[in-house]
Amino acid sequence: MQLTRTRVGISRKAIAAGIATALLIGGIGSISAEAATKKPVAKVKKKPAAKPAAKPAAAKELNEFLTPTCPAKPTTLTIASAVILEKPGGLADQGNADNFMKACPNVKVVFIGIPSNNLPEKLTTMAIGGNLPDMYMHFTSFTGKALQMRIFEDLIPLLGQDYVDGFDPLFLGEAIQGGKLLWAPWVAIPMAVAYRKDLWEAAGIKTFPKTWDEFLDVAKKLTVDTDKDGKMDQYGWAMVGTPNGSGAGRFHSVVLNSGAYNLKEDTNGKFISGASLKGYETALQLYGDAIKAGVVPPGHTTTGYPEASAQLATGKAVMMVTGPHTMGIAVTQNPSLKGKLGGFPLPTANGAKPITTLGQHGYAVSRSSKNKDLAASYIKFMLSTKQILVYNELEYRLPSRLKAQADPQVAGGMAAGFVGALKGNVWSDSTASFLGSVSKVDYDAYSEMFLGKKTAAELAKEADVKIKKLIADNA
Amino acid sequence: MKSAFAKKSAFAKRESRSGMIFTIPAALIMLGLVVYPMLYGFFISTQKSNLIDKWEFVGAKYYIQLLTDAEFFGTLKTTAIFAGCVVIGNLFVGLLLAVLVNQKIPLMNIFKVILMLPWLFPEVVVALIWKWLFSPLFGMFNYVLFSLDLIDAEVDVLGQPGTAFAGVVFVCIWKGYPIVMLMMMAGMKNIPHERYEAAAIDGANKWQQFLNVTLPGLMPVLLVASILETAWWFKHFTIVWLMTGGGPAGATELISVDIYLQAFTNFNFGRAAAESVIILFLLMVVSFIYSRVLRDESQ
Amino acid sequence: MAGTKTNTIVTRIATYSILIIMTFLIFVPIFWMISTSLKTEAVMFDTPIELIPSEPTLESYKNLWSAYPFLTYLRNSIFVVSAATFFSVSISTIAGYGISRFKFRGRSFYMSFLLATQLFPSIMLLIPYYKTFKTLNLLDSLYGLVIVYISFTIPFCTWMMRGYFNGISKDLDQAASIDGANRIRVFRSVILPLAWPGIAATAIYAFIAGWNEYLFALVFINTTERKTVSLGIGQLIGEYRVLWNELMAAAFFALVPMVIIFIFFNRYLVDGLAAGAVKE
Repeated sequence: MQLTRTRVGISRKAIAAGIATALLIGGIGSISAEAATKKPVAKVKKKPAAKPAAKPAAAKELNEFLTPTCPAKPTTLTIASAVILEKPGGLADQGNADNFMKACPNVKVVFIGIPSNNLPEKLTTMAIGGNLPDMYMHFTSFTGKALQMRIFEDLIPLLGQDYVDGFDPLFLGEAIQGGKLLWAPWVAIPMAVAYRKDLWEAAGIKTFPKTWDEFLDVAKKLTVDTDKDGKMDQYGWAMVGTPNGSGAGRFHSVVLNSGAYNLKEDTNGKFISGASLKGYETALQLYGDAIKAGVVPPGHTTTGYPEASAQLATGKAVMMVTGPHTMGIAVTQNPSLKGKLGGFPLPTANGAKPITTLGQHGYAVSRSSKNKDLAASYIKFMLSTKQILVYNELEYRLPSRLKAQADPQVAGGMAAGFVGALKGNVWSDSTASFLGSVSKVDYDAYSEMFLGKKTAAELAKEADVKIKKLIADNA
Repeated sequence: MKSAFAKKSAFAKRESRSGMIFTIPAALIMLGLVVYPMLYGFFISTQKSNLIDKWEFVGAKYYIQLLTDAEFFGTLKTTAIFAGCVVIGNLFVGLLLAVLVNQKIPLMNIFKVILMLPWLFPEVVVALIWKWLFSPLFGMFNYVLFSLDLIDAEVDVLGQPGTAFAGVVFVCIWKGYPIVMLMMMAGMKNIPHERYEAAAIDGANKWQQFLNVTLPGLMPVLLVASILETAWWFKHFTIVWLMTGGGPAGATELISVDIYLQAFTNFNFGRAAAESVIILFLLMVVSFIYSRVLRDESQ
Repeated sequence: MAGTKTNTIVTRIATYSILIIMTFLIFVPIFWMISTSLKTEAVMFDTPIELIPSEPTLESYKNLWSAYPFLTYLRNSIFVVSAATFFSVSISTIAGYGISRFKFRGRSFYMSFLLATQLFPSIMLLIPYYKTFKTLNLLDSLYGLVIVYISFTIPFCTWMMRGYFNGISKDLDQAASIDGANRIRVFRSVILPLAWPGIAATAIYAFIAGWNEYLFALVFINTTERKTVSLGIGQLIGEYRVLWNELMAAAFFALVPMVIIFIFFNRYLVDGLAAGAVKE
């Protein structure tokens, strides 16, 4: 009887045990299978880089460049940057580097921090001394020098045409010279008018001024003596008047939007002065009228960018011709300002479409670098949407990649007015090496206008003569 | 006679050799480090170049451009007046304070330390603090004047040409007098007490003692101080650049600002170098004049 | 005699008045600096202006040590500037003595040459210096910076020391050498002790010049670990934003070593190790 049992009857206990075991094994199996399929999703960096396909460049944007191709040997990548020293932008820069180093553990990213005011001296000296790092930060004002010294590596072959097509064409317009891409555009700060929404509404102003005359009127309405002690406490216009790029550059924005310019190349490649155009005189007149009307806080020629931002942030002034980064600075200094700032396009002389300047900067790769491919990898990593949005959130600067620009974080919020400015016309400064001296002519003209001893017409004529002389001297 | 003469020239030779031994270390360092840059400067003033691989000899082009440019001379004039005011201010204040603290009266040691303080600050910090103090909206200067009811509208010190010039000169003197004071203090240490005593016995009062004992005793140091101060303040850049940037309307435009603009903004090193060479020669002439004048007086 | 007494009282009153006015002019910016360093960014530009902040905070001082390696900067500055001062003053003192005491051919040329090196705008020295130091492989090096500062301070220090030595009567040298000492003994034992005020003044000058130097430190030094205090301060000044409270805190800290140095050297200016030893 025992034999029959063992031979035939797999006991119900055994069957139950068998089924239980099978279920158990099955269960463990499926859990581990799930875990196995989950792991690759979390560790994206372990995936090999996607093979290039015939997909449009923008679609390849979002996360792929978070997986850079790492070099085989330990390598150091040196980058000269001004942003690394700044707050809060420096956090984004360092964050980029840290993430890259996590992705490629045998790469060390070393920053050479140079205060932005001193970039020209240091970069130029390093370039002439043959000691440039792998990558360096490039402002548009450096373009002429970079071209003359030929220190950059053309980025079109290095990054690939497909990738380059993913940049905003307005940015590329300035960054491509003679068919070569001098630097990878990173962010821009287009000029518009930043204003304090709360003070604007308090003064009951409903529409944005479209012409400079309207602008002046609005400024007058915004200049009030709030505590009635005989002294103005709030001014309409935080004008940046210092003799540097910040001050003279803003004056030039007004000139541009009055139908003139200071210097440009004509179709034959010769330089011409625009100070003889009526618009130059109109801009000078506006500056003089603004001072006379008292809509600008006192101390106009010593009010630099930091001072004007402080005026805007403390409510001493309501409007400022500037880029979106000013809002970032104001909010960092005074977090209660979040949501209280906005922007509208620059007014123009006759209501025409406003002209803005990009004020972009980016990173270039040195021709002398020994790690060009790694640098290209780093650039793509830095410009991937995720990384660039971190920077945008900190400083409100507008990204150069089309895909990132489309992100609602960029276009919404306080920076909306500035993004809109990009839809107008964009002016690019000439790459003439003596542009600095031309800017100084602008400054001399408007600072003399403030003194009120000469007329705008006289000063415009003097400026014209000076600019023509500069052109002749530098021929 | 002959042996005395021979002894004298042997002595002179020994003198000469000793002199050279003492002075060679300094000479070597300066020759090694500073001569090349100056020669380099001379060289590139005749070139139109990117300093890397493109060199084009243009001869005296930049010199001619500069020497026929009224604006250049205007800037030189402004710089000269600026330097003159600051140097005279420094010499006056430095000498005055050195004499005052040299007296053997209480608290002088504390004052010595206090009076040195302005010099210990970096120029950048001095410029920024004073710019803020003078600021019409946010500065103490206007605030105090308002509180004392001395003004009813803000005074923009750095915004009007005249007051801007005075303002930067004031700040530069504020920063610059301590070194003169220091030099004078050290120099006075070596004027023998006996001279003062002799003068007092002759009936000289404090002022006369100063004129006849202190001042002549300080001549060597005063000479050095004057020449070097003039050179320094003529080449000055930082404080004025940060406070006014050369404005308003060129009222505080210094030559070193233009050199910087030409070199690092316009990338025109040839012209910047030519300006530097012109400055060099100008200052050498000035030094020469000083040493002649002051040497004659001290004899 | 009565006249002298009034004279003394009048002099004293005048002296103290002037000194007090100067003290006031000196302390106003210093108070503003300290006051600013105790404010937070949000209240920095509030009006009406507060000389004494209503809510002082030591936040910016704490940041200096936590956010930046200021201790490293301090250490670097102390090293570079002390070394440069030591060598520069030593070499200049010897040279100054040589020029003062010995007539040799080329003496006035030598002095003019030294002077001329000071008359050239330093911004133009930047590039050739950089190239030289690159060849010597001394870029991004504190030792390199020491040499740069030595070359900057030697001319002035030599001129100063020569001036001071000129003020020490040559008769002393004669007297000593008659007593049998050779040139070097004369220098070391007789003249040098008398020159201490001058050496002290020269050393203070060289120290402060090096401590506050910015442009060459900026261009020559790349790595953060080798930066000096003046670079640390300069970094706080951005094109778009100035970190005022941290800047003032940093400036205040940078003052401290210099005040110590000055108080130390002040002894030599006050006393004489020198005074009274002169016989005529």
